[in-house]
Amino acid sequence: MADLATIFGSAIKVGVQPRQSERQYAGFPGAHGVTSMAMGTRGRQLIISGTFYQAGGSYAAARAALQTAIDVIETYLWAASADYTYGNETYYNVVFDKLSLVPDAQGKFFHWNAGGYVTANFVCYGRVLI
Amino acid sequence: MTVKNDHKKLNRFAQRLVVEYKKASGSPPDFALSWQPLWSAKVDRITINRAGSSSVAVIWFPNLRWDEGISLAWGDMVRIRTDHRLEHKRTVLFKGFVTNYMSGYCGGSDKANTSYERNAVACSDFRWLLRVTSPVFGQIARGPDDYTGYGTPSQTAISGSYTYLSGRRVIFNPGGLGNCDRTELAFTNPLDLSTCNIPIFCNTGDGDLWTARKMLRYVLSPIYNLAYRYFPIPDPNDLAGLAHADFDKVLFNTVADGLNVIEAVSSICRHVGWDFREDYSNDDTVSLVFFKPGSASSYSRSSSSQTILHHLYCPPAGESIAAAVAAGRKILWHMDLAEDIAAVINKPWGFGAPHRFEFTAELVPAWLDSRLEPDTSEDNSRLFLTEAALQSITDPNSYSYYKYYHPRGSAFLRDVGRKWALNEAGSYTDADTYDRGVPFDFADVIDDEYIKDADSGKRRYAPFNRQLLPCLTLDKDSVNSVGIKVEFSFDGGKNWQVITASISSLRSEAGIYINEANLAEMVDQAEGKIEGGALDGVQLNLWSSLCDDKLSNRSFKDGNWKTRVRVTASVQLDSRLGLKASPASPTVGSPFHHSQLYDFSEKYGIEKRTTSSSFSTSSLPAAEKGTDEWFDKHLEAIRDANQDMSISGAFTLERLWLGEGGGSPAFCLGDGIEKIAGREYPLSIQLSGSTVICPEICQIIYLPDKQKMKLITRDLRFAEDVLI
Repeated sequence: MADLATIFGSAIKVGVQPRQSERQYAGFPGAHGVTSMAMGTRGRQLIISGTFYQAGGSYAAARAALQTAIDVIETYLWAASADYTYGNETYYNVVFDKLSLVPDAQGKFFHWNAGGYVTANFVCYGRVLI
Repeated sequence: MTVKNDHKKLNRFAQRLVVEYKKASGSPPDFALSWQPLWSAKVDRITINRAGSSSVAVIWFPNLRWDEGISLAWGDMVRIRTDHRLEHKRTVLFKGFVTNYMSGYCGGSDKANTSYERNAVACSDFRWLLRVTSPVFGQIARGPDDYTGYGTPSQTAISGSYTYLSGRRVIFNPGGLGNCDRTELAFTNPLDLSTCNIPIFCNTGDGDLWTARKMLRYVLSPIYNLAYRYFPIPDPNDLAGLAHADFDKVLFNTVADGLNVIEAVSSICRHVGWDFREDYSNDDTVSLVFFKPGSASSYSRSSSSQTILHHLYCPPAGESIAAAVAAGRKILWHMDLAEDIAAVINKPWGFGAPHRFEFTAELVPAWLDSRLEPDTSEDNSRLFLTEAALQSITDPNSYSYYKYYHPRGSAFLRDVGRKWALNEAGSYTDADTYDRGVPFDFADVIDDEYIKDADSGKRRYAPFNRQLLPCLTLDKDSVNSVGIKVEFSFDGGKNWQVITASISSLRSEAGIYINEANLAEMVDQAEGKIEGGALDGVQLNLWSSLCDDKLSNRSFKDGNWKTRVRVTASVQLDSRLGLKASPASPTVGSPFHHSQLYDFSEKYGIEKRTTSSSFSTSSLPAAEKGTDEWFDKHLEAIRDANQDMSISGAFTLERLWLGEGGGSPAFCLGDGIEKIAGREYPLSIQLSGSTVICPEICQIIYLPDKQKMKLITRDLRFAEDVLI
């Protein structure tokens, strides 16, 4: 069971949305009311947000290294469902749908810090299938 | 999620169908005893078909790419059922075998969810298995070794012993004669030691007539059911619906040879106006259920009522659906209803076979008088030669009799003395050629009632050529026609005699042709001689008599010939029995008078032996037909069945009606849709008497992905001949 902190780094927050119902509604011309057909649910949405950190000798070198790390994380988007842990929680049968970098107010994704590393904020959407 | 009893609630739950399978191993395959669930499979659709069309289920695997292997292999047995936790409350919707892999793949477009991969299989039901495994050919019968004391008065069939005759075709009641052995075969099935009695074949004419039930018991018997291991029918006599009296009907000349079991069953059912479907019970059995289309009259299914009536519900405008849902109504979500008068028939015309009459009439010589030139030389010794005399003559062609009037002669004139015609078209009337008098008048031999128009008195035939047909008179065994009787007279028609000879009926006109080689061998039975004239004292035979007429310059037209030929035969005339049924009043269906011709030549017609027939005073019977009251009733029944509009439709219900834990589905093939409740729209049609017909469900399609089901109906007038 992989730890989400191992994949996304330790500067993350993990949250799970409640399930949402999926229904079909059947109406009848001229009549009032519909019947609803509960078609089940589509699992829970898993949201992982945080910041990537990557050290480097220069902005360019650090950013390139971070991009390489993001490319590795990206491969989880087409991985089979798996169980993951974070903190004291275990998330079962998780697949990842989307990974996005979040720009700052000026539209900048990567930031150079005086300590010699590049950071980037991100959000990743997954789904707990069950 | 399990099946909820939510059919009376606005908020319904999707009903899940469970796919289970049994792995096939070996060939022919063996199957595991228990079902294994296939949780990764989804049911795309189940199409339930009637009669000989197999039901088909399509299941697919959403988590697999099209080229990935699936758990199911060819021939695996598949079952689709509801997921009720109690087995006896489950409804089995389908059972069958994997017959078709259906792989699909699409790259999609720029729009979301347009690409797909599909890994699916189609399964066909047990009727498919019977169709592909079980041909019907060859007869089951008893041979000499299937009896004790064969050929003796104590001959007795050995129980369970039979012989398969591969060279005999499976034709029930050929020519209307029974070929069903009066002693049924007591058969013990070696597969499961079950026993049943099977009607089998015997010599045609020596047995009972096959009824439709016996035919079905024969073709569905374990002997022909080569899929018995998978679809056991231990005793076809026990199949639901088969006990109905309609199956007592005798069907003649019914051919099952070369068909498969299901095709044979379909064919037999169609002739008695019945249908069948494949039903499943939750104890894992599969059975054929026979039902009569249009027979549904109750609203709850039972062993005696295999089809029922339904009211589908369409909420009226302005009404809340709450009450209808609370009452558990089967609510229509979508409907395509076609009510059509285009095919109405409210004034059917029926026709019987053309009238046919047996009569006796004289024929005219169908040759030119100038062609007959008797050779009276050498004191009439060259007039004719017997066959015996010809044997000793080295050059018979030197005799004009042989040269021109014998079939082996070098200049044979084939019509002279041999072709005799009725002259019904006046072909031999012309004074410049044949000059045989006026054309034959059928009014001379047929009663005015049949030959003349009742109002105008005009004769209802035209001078067209026709053919002499065998007599309606039957032989003493009342089985076969006596054929065509030809008689000869050598005294101007005072005395008639039958002379044994080879004679055939002309094909293109009413007449005969004497095939006999030597006309002089057709001798007067009284062994008389010609008296007077040039041939005085010559032996009286057909040739010498004709020569005598010629040499005496007698006129046939004036009735002077002593040589006469008459024939007793039947002939088909130019009128036929015809009836038109009047449209019902008040008019229903269409305001127009829609007519359709129905040819009932096989059933109705007028066939009479007239008083002119030489057999009319004999004791021999005749196969006559007259006007038939059933003809009238038949046409009225056709009108009643077709005078109203046709109704056919496709109805989609807003949920799956799977029996709500009752163990069987709510809708079955053969059920009727009596009306659309709510809108109070009737779909039933009242026929004559108390007969009511409704659109009949002929196909059911379950759509689990959409949680809906579709009922396809057909108008019963297009069903089998159930209404007459």
